[in-house]
Amino acid sequence: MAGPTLRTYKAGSIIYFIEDKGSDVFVLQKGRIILISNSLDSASEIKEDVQKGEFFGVKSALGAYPREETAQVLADSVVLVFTPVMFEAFCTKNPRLVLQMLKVFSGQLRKVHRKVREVLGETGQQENSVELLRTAESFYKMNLKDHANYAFKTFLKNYSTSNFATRGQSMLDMISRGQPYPVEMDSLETIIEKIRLGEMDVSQNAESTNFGDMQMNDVGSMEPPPLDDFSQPEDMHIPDMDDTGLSNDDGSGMMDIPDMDLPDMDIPDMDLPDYTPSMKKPPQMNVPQPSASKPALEGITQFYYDGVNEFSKQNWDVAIKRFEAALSINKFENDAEASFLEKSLFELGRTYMRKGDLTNGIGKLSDFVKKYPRNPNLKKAMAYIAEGYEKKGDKQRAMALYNKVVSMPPRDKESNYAKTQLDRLMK
Amino acid sequence: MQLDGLTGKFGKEFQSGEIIFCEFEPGDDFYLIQKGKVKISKIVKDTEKTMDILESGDIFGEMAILEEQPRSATATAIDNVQTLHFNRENFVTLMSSQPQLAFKLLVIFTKRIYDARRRLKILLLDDVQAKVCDTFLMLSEKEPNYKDLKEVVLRITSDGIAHWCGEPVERIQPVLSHWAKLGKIELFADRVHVNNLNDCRRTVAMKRKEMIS
Repeated sequence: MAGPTLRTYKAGSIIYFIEDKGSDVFVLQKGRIILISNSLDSASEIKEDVQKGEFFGVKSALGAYPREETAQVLADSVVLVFTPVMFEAFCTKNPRLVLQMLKVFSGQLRKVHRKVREVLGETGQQENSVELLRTAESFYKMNLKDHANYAFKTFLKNYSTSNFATRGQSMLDMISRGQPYPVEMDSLETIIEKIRLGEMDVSQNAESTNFGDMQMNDVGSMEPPPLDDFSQPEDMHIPDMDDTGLSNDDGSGMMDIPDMDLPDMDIPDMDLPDYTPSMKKPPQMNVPQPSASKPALEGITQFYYDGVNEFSKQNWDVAIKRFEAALSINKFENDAEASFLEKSLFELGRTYMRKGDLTNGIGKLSDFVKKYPRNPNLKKAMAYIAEGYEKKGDKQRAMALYNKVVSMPPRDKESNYAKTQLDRLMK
Repeated sequence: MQLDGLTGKFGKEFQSGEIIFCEFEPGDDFYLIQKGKVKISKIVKDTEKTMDILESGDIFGEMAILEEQPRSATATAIDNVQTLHFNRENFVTLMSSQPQLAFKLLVIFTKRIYDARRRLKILLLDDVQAKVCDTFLMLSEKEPNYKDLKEVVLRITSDGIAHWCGEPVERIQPVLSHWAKLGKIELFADRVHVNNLNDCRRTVAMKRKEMIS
């Protein structure tokens, strides 16, 4: 077969223009040539010098698509010109060259993929281990259990020392037990965001990060969580953490929310999948029977966690009784213990919501908002209430509440959720 | 390609529905399909998006072996699949002994780069209508028979258009409905009839010009 032909070009000439169709491949032998292309957003022009011995025009020739750049000759040049057949023959005789080109191309491809992900607003910058776990969790959420099983195992095999290994293992265990994805759990994004914001310390709480806001100071209970731990719900702020936001919150206008009195109406379970409250490991304990006469010390936490347990099993009525029992306690050792009142009221409202008793749910959550405007769960509570109103058909009130959540600093997951809901309702 | 002799040494089979590898899994092997079909998908916001369906003669998983990077997509056997399975260690040997395969990879890469860049061009437009127009143009570019045609039928659903545009389908649907009312397009469940691609070209060109200025 005939080899490539030599062609000479005068300075100032053009070998091909952008958008031209052409299947020849070129190699610069002598002279100076630049490739002029547009950036992907068309906002700027990119000029690149072709190095001597470098191929150009390869991609458009092989892919049979229009030239993506203009090849302009700056100084008299000599180029080798390959027809597609010649180029293929040349490549098959020079596999090392092909390998080099493959490396360059794969790098380019990954770069474009990264950019696509960025434009789509997808998280593309996480560590691979986190991305793999995210993929596994997505499979799980989609109920593709075989895929999830594979992905979790792959994650654990490759990243057994990851801060999220316990989370992965627990989910794998849940799959093997046939349990659904624990929607109550803090999402991976939430945990990562908390770590990013310094609200959670990975190094100190490697295992706890698997469970969202798990008790930071309860080092003694940091052993791998029991299998059913993922059924432990909720964004609980544990005593002594002193991170309830009291000092940081400006409390601006939080009380200014619509009235919450509602007609009685039961509708099916609310599903707030975007709210993935954290799973925390409660203190080791046996499940107690509710008793309002129990001593306050430990009683409220006991009732609270008990309620949380029942919630996770979707025993709504029992959970309600536990939270009510917690709320009936009025003597506390310290402020931290008293803070369980807030948590219990929030959970009580949520449990009603999940049960489908919107009236009581909205009522309890409204009490919570009014009583504890500085609680970190305030925005969540308001969003739940908004969802409740929407389900009741009161779109205006739902929008007002979402709007309120959006306007409340700081900008966080709840704000984004509320904004999405607001946009949806405004359509 | 003469690959029959490689089956014994490199053959690997997968059952229908079996996952071959998943997105972000570390991996240093790639596959050449000898029989069966393989679905390539990605997770986007907790939804599985099918990127491609590969068949006999197709290659997948090749990215991981060129760079020490994890898988960029998930591969699942659609039916019973027979593959030849290569890894980083034997890749260079394979490429040297099977230069046609190496060349085929090169061609696949160029097409993938083009497609990804083309998609990015759509995504970078800051207007939903222009994005939809550019999606129509991109789809027609993929059909060699559509060259220079003004009126084309594109096999795509509203969801598919939304995916290319990187927009929720709720934002795309009103645009499509509006154009359907104006008679610019005809909408069907599985296809769109575009009456004048030149309109699309003008819209996109104008938008790009605006963006530059």
